Amino acid sequence: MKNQNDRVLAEIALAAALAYILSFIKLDINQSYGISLSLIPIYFISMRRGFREGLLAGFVVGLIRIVSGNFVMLSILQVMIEYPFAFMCAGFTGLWSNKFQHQLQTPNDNVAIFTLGVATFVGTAVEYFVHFIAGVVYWGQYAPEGMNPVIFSLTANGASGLCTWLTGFVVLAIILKMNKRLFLVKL
Amino acid sequence: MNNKLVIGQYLPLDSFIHRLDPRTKLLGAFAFVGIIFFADSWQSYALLSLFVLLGMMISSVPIRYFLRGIRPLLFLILFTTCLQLLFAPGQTILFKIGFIKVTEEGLIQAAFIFIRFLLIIFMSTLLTLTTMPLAIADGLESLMRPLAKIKVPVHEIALILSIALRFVPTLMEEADKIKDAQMARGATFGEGKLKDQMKAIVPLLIPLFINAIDRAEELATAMTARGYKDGQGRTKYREISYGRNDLYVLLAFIGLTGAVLWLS
Repeated sequence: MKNQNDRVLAEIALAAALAYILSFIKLDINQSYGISLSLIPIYFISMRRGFREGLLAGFVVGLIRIVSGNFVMLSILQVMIEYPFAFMCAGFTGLWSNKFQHQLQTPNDNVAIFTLGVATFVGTAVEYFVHFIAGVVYWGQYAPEGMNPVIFSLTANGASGLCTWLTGFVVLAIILKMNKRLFLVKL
Repeated sequence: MNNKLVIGQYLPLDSFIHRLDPRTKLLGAFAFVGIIFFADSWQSYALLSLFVLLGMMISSVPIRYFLRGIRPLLFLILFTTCLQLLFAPGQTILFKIGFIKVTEEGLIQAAFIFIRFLLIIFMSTLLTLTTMPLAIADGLESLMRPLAKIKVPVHEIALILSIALRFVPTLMEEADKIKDAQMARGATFGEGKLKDQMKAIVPLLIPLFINAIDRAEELATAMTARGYKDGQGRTKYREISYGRNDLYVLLAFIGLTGAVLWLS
């Protein structure tokens, strides 16, 4: 089809818009902490379309946040790292896209679900590694001398990264079981 | 969902700052946040505060909009300030309760950090209160253009960003509708055990994803029908251009940088 490229662009744009909207819906763990659903559309578009597409979607989500004023600026470096770059890294999920698309054609869903789990885990890990770096930079600039910014950042980002991944993976696995065609690219 | 929060904070007024080129405001806000890290004396912080206050006054945006920007960060600010207050190394001990000691150096350091936070937040709020999201997007695209040299798909990113911004309100309305429809059938969101919450989110996401994919297809067809092709030689509906006022702001920032470096 001739407009294949436009169609991919439009899908990335809508996935980014969805990711932005879902960042306002949170699942409660307790009063003070919630899991953001924002990564789910990025996982989704990465698995559906691929690595480059996932990176683009994540990058644009970061830009939407800056453009609409929903961002936290503490230093220039932190804003650059945390917004476009960190979200973009969730696109690493898309490295498994080809394999996943092939597995979806087979009758056994569990193989595809396993790939989905691995891919989303890696994507989240890369993203939260970047948040971790941003945390180190932040605490490096703001924590008093003699305090270790690495441990601070590691505990905070490690826990929320793991929760985010688990939620995203479980929700997408349920969706895959219910409606497999959603992930499949029709040609 | 709070619609205002989602779509952006822009306040449509008419002021000197509103009329500036979005690139000037973006660069200015970033430059300011860079400069502030060089400040380490009362004089330099006073000058920076004066600069921000002047900007806020010129923008004619009521002060409560700026104060609102602090709220989500209040905890982080207080936490960081307290850390500085209690643990910054210093010689002159002001008072001591048990193992907690507050030094003069710690107090000064904490005050500086607190002011720095406020000024950074006010500056970034000033940017988003006086500039339309689409104008910021245009500004970002223009500033990112040199990156095209190192194979960053700037044009594609700009197109995706403007489509995404266009569809944020539409998709949000849709999400709200689906949510209401599911709640009318007895679903609950954001309540109960985590496992139940995850299950509840699925009937919300599936229609949203299906709609988004359908919409993308329609949009692509519409783009092809109107002759869109890789964005080559595409013109813009809104052109941005620097004016005389942008030059004044640039000079003001150069002056500020010089003064802060001199005072520190």
